[in-house]
Amino acid sequence: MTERKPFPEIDRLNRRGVLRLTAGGMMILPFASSIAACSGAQSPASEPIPPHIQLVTQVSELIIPQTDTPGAIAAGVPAYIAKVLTDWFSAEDSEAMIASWAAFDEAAVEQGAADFLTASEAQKVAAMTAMEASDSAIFEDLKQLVVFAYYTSEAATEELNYDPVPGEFRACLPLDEAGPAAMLYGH
Amino acid sequence: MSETTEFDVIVVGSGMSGGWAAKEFCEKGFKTLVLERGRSIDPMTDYVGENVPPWEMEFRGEIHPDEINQKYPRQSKCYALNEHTKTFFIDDSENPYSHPEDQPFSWIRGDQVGGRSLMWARQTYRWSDIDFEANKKDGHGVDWPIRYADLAPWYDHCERFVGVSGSIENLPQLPDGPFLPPMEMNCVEKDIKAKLESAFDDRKMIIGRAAHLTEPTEEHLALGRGACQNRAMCQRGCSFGAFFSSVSATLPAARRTGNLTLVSDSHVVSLTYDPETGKATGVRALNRVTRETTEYTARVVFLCASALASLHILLSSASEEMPNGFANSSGALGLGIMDHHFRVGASGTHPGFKDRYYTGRRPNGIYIPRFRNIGDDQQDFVRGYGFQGGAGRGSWRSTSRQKGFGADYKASLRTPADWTFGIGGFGEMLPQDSNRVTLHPTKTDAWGLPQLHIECSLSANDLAMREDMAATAKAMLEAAGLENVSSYNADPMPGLGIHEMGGARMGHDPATSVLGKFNQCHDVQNVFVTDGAAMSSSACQNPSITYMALTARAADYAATQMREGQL
Repeated sequence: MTERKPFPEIDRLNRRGVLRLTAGGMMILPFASSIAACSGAQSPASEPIPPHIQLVTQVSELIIPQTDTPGAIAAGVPAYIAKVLTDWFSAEDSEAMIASWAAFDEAAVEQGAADFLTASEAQKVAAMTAMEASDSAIFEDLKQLVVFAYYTSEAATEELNYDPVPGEFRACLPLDEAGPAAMLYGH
Repeated sequence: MSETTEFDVIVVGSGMSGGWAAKEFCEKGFKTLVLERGRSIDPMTDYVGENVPPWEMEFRGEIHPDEINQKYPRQSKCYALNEHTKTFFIDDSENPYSHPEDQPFSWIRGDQVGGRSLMWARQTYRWSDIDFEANKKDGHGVDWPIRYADLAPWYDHCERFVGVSGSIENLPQLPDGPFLPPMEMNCVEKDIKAKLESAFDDRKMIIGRAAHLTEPTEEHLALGRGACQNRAMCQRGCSFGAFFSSVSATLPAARRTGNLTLVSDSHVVSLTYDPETGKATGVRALNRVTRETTEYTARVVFLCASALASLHILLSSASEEMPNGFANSSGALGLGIMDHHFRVGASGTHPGFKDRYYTGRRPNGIYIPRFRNIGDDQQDFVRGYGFQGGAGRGSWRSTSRQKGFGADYKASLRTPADWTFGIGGFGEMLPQDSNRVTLHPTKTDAWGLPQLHIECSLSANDLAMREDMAATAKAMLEAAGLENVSSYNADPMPGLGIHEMGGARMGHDPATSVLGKFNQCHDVQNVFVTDGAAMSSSACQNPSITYMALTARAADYAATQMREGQL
């Protein structure tokens, strides 16, 4: 085997910030899982949706909204992130991440709301814009988790060029003829 | 057990080299036993990560950190390990090895029929006489007992069967072969090639030579192999058989002769030896499932277990007659292990071609063959390096880093990122006897067998070369018109090149080498070592095709000797 195949690697190297160290020094990769097949953030009917999942649901749809293609909720992003929180992170890391999301409430309060969940859409957008403008790692981490969940979901096949078996390599095409950016990476 | 344990030939290992030994002997009419320590592989059922979309993988391609810590702490340093490919990598927890604290070594291993031929990166480059003459010229290592002319017909033989796509270049340092049609460079690569070659008249940038069927021949089709589909997900297994592996090519060719017996889960522990005849009688193998030991006998044994595993077997086969290890009267066994040093290079962005893109994932890059210390070039280090690389436009993993969110942000991710181009060097590591493997005096594995102890670090020459690699990569990219060029020279981490080789070097003199010019042990005539362990120097080219050519050549020699009653 083996040498590095460089060109998809360029993108892997660009995943700055996705590889992080927890306080314990363990490497974590904050993406995961397969509940995306389930739709939306629905919990079993009898259980109320926990506030942090409500927050994830609202934030994810604001990051990747429904347009002419599915948005984050239809793509199952909140359910996926719920699985990440339980199955990927340790309980300790998961709790820390959920606790960090109080920053969304704080940002909403800055916009005059009581908290994030009850804020108006304009206040939510303003709060998230302010968080991003201040280079909030809490915002960026959740944004990247949403992006990963969305662009690895089946719904994203409507948004980007999902091409599992290209057959040909067409080496140089006008951008509009090539279609949207590739959904899949190699390896 | 009633199954036969007597064969004409035993081949240890079913990977890149073992598959070739099996094919050649079976096709020549010899009853051949292949012993593979890993599990069996059926492409119909065991390519479990192939054709699975990300949303159907539990962690969408990533491996859970707990599983990394438990099973893959060493293997996870390999770029190719992911949730789709993990079943092809060895379980580190069951396969310990040792190294000094301050000399980390990454031993990346397969553990199945086909070995690492299922996960290799398929780059295929011949050596030239510049490489075979290097030890003699500069005095590092022992002189190779062969030259390019000895191997050239065997490169032809192997490349035709393998199916190597590439361009004819007439470069003395990188001989051409009977190539299938080359893959195509994208527009940015073509632009960089033109600028680079006009700025440096001693350098060429060519499309990578890769073991993919761009246009299968009748011979390939007859084995059930098909054309490359440009998925670039090769290490998940390719049920098209479009890239060369033992599983897609050599083992099926061996099997159809009716002469092949392949036993998986069979870990060869040692060679058996008859002091009366001075020959090996066969091997002793542990079944990893039943834990039974079986002795198999044959007239000839080919060790193709991968460089370090073959050395482990030889070192573990010491006897009263051969107290320092099998066929080790020279004392050279285990000495002079090498890898290619890499993780050094440069990358930059290309300002143009924003209106151009591509479709498909070409499973190959570009290659800049060696230009150092050849022709008129003379450096303050010896030997040389080549660069591999490529240009591409990132997708959402890159563009998602831009500011913003919402409908405009989502729409902007439909446009690929700007073009980037990067090259990484693969440098020749000098053969040094201080880089060596031994049996650890106390540490043992799950079988109670001594662990392999690996000592390997870079020489001053290697380190000087790396400085030049980083600076030269940067200068070349700048000359080619790239912007934001930055170079890197990371921890080389021996082993991670996954080109580990040497330790049973070929040479003229039985006093200083283990193997002769046909990969035959000087001391024991019916044992051959034809994997990476045989290498007397490393060159800078990816080595697999050279292992294949050496194996086919050695098998042809051994077969002739057997027919003539010499073996």
